[in-house]
Amino acid sequence: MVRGGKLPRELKKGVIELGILAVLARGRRYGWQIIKELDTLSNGFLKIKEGTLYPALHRMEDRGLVKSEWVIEGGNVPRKYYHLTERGREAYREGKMIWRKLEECMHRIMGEGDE
Amino acid sequence: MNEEEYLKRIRRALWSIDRRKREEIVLELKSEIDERLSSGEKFEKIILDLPQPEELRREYEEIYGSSMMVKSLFVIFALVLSIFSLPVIPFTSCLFYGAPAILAILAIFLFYISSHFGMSTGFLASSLSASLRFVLIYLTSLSISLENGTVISEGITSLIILLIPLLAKKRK
Repeated sequence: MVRGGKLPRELKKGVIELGILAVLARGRRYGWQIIKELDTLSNGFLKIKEGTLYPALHRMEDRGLVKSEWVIEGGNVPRKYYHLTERGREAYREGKMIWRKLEECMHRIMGEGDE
Repeated sequence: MNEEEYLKRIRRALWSIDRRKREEIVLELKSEIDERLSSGEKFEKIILDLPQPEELRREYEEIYGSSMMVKSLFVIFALVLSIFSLPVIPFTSCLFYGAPAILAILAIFLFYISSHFGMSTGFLASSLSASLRFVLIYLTSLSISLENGTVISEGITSLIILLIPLLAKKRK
């Protein structure tokens, strides 16, 4: 059930991976950058906590969707950057297509008789 | 709690994960904390966003499973238990409630290994335990064992031990 305009947990799970793929399709990012970007681009609707993001990134790396590298920039703390692999790009294209189809279907299903 | 204490708790919670992976997970969290601290955020505020150690342990254990070292330690402990689950080992009768009780503990332990570390590790532990029991019966007192019918009864229990990991549900 949707409460207070928040994304329900069950829906969030499926959306997060596609969201991460979409952010990484724009270029390499590190964890904190992904969290901020998802927050900004979704106007605060898709707020991901670190406990969700980092394991999700590791899971995606394990599946070969993303690759990571440690970078030390200007003597600062090292950052772990993630970028999409070819398989990740393919998963993003596919995910985007499915998402659009789902959106269209749900629009048709919920469109009529909606207030 | 400060940054160092928090990271120490994370490191402790992830003890069963491969050391290299564990350090990388900790360093990734440290990297974010340090960046947010240097941009002026207070650690008391940052910690509200950070995951609980137990939550991370569950997630990462599901992704990476346990390290080889931890799995090996559990298998070795199962082997030690299997030695004392034999009634032909003189020392066994002095322990706890003797061989049957240790055998029951071994069975529970093998079930735990299989459900926690995966069926392959559980099966490795059970087959090594069962084989070791057979070898020990032969080495210690085969003649006494044959007289008492121990070889047959221990053979059956070893077979049960061998099959226990198959009862556990699959896990990485």
